Amino acid sequence: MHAQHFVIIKLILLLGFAVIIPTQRKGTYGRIKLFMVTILGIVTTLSFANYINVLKTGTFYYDFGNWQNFIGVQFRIDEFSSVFAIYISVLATLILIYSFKDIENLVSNKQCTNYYTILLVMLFSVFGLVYANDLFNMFVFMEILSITSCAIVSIVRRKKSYLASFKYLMINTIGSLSILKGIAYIYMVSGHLNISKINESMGMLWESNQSNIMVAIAFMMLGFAIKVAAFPMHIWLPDVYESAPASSAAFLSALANKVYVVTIIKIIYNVIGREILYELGLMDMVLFFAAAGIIMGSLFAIAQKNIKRMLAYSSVAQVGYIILALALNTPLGNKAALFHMISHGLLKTALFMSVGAIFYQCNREKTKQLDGLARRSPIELAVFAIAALGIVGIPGTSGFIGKLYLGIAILQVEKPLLLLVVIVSSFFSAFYFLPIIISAFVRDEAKSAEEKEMKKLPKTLVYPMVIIIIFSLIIGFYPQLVTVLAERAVNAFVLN
Amino acid sequence: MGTPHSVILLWVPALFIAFGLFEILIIPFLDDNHRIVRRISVSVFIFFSTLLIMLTYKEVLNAPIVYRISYIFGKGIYFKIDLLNYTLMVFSGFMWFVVGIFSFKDIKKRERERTFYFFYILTYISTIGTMMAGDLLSFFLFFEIMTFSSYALMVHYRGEKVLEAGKEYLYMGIIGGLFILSGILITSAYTQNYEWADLAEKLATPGMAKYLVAGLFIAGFGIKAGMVPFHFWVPKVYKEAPICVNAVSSGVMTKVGAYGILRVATVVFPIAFSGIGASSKVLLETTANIGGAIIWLGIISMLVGVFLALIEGDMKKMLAYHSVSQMGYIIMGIGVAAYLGSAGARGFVGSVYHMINHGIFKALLFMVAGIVFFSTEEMSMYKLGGLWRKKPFVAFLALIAVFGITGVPGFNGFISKSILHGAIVDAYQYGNPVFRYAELAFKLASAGTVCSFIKFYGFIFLGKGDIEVKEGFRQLRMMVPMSILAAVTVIIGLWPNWILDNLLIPASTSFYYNPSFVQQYISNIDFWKSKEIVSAIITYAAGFGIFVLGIKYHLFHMHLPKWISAERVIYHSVTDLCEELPNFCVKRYEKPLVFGDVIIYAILLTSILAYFVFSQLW
Amino acid sequence: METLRGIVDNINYIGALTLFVIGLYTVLTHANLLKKVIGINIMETSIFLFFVSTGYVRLADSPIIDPNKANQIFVNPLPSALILTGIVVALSVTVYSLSLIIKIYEEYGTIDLNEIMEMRGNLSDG
Repeated sequence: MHAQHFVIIKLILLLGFAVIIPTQRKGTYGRIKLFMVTILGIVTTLSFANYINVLKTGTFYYDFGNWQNFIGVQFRIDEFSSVFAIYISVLATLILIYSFKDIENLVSNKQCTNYYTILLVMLFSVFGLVYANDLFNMFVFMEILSITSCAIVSIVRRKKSYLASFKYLMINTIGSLSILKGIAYIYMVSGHLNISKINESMGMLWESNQSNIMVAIAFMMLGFAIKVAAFPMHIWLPDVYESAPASSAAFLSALANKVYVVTIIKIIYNVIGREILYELGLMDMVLFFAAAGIIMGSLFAIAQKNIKRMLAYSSVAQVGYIILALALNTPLGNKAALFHMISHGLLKTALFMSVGAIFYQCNREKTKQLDGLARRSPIELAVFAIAALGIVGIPGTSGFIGKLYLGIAILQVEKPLLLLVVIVSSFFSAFYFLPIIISAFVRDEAKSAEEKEMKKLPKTLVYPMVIIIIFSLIIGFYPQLVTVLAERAVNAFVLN
Repeated sequence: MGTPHSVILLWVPALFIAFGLFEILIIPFLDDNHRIVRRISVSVFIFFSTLLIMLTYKEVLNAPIVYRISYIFGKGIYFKIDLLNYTLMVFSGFMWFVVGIFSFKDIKKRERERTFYFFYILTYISTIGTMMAGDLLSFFLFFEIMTFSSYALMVHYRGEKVLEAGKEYLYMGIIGGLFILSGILITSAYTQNYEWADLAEKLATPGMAKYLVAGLFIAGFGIKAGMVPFHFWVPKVYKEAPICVNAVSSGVMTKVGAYGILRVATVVFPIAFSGIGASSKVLLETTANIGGAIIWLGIISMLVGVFLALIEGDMKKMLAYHSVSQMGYIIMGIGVAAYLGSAGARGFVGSVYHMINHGIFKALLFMVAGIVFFSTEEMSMYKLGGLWRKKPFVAFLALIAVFGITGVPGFNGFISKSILHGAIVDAYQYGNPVFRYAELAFKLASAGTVCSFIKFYGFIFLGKGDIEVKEGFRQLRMMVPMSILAAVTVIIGLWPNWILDNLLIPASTSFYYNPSFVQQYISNIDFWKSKEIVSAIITYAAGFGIFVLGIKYHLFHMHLPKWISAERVIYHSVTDLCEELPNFCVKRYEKPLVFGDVIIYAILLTSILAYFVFSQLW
Repeated sequence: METLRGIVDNINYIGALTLFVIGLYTVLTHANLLKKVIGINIMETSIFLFFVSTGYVRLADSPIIDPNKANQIFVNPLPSALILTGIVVALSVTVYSLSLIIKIYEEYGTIDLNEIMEMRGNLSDG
């Protein structure tokens, strides 16, 4: 009985502490940090305990206030969502530890606590989105997520961050509205907002109200494409990642992006159902756009001069991989998508952390400015190099395993052109990452840069990076640690 | 000879990797104060690991040693040592050890010794790992590690030109890796087993897919081996790299590429010859086709390499082009091994033997070039001369090496070239008569090699010359490895049967080559038969003739027109495209895209809705 | 006649769609940031209208139980409740974007997107 409430305890903790922070007095910043780390530690433990509980007892539904599911709000706690909750909490803890020093550097002192308030609310909404089993609730959490993620970008007082977050807000709102319109059409047709209920009646509904559901699918697909930064809708991504502080960018790319993919999976499998989508022939269009996104993302990344912008375009390409894997519609494709989600989350976070650490030390953020830096900051550049090799797909890193599964999944549906796209984009990623790594390790620093002093690198910046990259290497050599979980999750999220 | 002994032997791969990791972890901690300790540890490690591998001979003779590590990469990887691996691994261990001794003096003058030895050992481990790998994934893992760590070796001297050449090497290496990865993916797509046997099954399927897979693998390995048309990185990088890296790369690492092609070519044999009858015919036919293509690729590499070497004046670049050419010989031999099926034993034995021999005399040649460069600071052959007076011992060793590569009877090159010549003769005797032209090309390339080395030796060592030699250059330590290599050259030349009987012939039988064929043509071969010697003399005469012609008509100073270079066609077009296209895209499209985000949304919305409406109407 | 009847019956939905398109058009074409926010508000309003009108049942009572009548048919109250939440969300988004506009005005001195982009210059130089 007790174990059932773990999820809610998590949410309450996060939201509660978020509310408490602004009420604290000024001088207690250190204590706040300690509390936050503790809270996140508890959240992580609860996520693990929850997963073990789910393994023992199976999927269960948590009704809020004991209202029945066609009236009330419901959470669905199954293996899929628990695995993701573990992933999110572990990453959130590590990035939070990283962000302490980083935010102090970039944000004015008064705003630091505000940053953490917003951050905790964002984490609250991420967890809610993972577990939600109910369309409208999903929408509300999505809106909270979109506003708070916008806020953690704009909290830095730089010109470009304001404009970037404004555009981000506009586009995200249009996306949310699109999704809401889709939800409205589905509600109009089925009369339920609860995902399980809709799933039960979808078969009948499809026979009678095809046009409604098709319009709903169109709106929702576009809305999610905007949210997840799939190819034609990825416009907001480069500006946002470029102007955000590194820890915000890490939160966005590792948490927000991935949780939207989780929501897409929920909608595809549980609300609409695979067969319908397949019938519509949408998958081919999605495959085309995903492939185009992979190539365009990698191509655009080569020409970028700012490292974070380059990483943003690289994210566009990687999200393209994930969507490609999902659109293939096979069990192996889904397994590849889940694995790649986790691996990309780890790698991108490591990349952003190392870039942030470099910026912390010597204020450099252009790709040409990193010459010879390996001598003075070896750890960040080693982490950057390993994570970059992971994105390129060198064996031994988790990125290689992701590409391997993806390649095999592509070949199983007999579309060799897509394999060519994947291989070519790997070469492109080598093309934009390798020059940076090579010039950092092999070249000598420019004379003018050599004389500048560099700030010391505090431990809280270093340890999370190193831990994340070690995780990535372990998964690279022993992928079954994750694939076993991924397979069980894939089996779990198809409601039968 | 008890249980512990055999247990140790079965655990060889694991022990090897464990020792290797230990060694790598030590090196960064031994700084320049402990230089001697570091050198000793490097040499001892290589020596003992080679010894360890050598000790497994008896077991390997019976059956290949297989060692599994489960759970890595999901399905587990395994290592396999069979006779082919065994030969090549012992050979690479030997080469690394000898070149290591040479490098103590070579690298000492420059800084960053520690990084050099770190990557030296890492490349050694990854090379041995590549050869020891029993399945495709572990092979690919070690192959990529080898590419990256050898890149670090190549760019050991810093500098803009070095980095430029290194970038080319690295990108070609990555492209090669991606080709191999595509091949692996297409092979393992349905079975999800990453074994070499799966490749054999794939080759039995109908349709063109199998040729695509074979082509991908051969292209990928060919890039590593320096096969034409992927050969252009070889001279560019060799010019900039340190001498010992040249020696070890051209001696061993290009052979890894050839080893890969050999595996692909012979992967069908266990299934075809011992198994089910129906598919074996298809398998043999496929392999024969692939083999034919490989033969022609080898011939082209031979000719192109020699031709480009003849017009080259820089010592290192000339030796680099000769590497391409000699790899052509090896690849041709592999082609014959595949093309003739069970009768291809001479190709198999010849190519493996030539791998060993070429490594030995090429390393020796590079070392000679290195010593000449160190004492005279001059790389161009045309400006040197008369060094036999000042450095007589070096001249003597260089003479041995030149005799080795050109195939003078009594030296190792003669042995392997005779076997390879016999292989190509077999090809047109037992196969398609069109290979007569191949044999002609073989003879032509050999003559060209002779000519080129007459030029090499003549311009550097003979004649009168007044080049300044740096005094005080103590080269004693460098003489030791060179003498070892020269001695081996002569020993193999005079007593070739030792390697043949103990290593290569059992290897060929284990690869299902027809034993009676082997018996007839190889085991009892008498290298001193007049037929072979006569053809050697004819080759020499032809070479000398070309040399005279060249001197008279100044042919050696010819330059190819710029537009012919394969480098421009393949490499530069790709990299320039990669650099220009994104800049173009970004300049023109980024701003409109950022502005037009909502427009894109609107357009997509209307088009998707229109698509639905229309699909409804059907 | 039938189509006219159909239109009148579904006037809410058609109105919602028209508003959505108008809102989208506003966001698209106007360069002034304030107008974009207004456009988004119009879009949001259109969706709320759409949602609420899905709950309408013809000739039904408003959802208040009258103990006297039996067998009442009610208009669906659920969408209205949901839309209340939605309106709050829309409100918070509008507030946030307005405060961002104020900050942008302080930094750039203009709220016209074209002028701001010109000031920013080339994008990839950051």
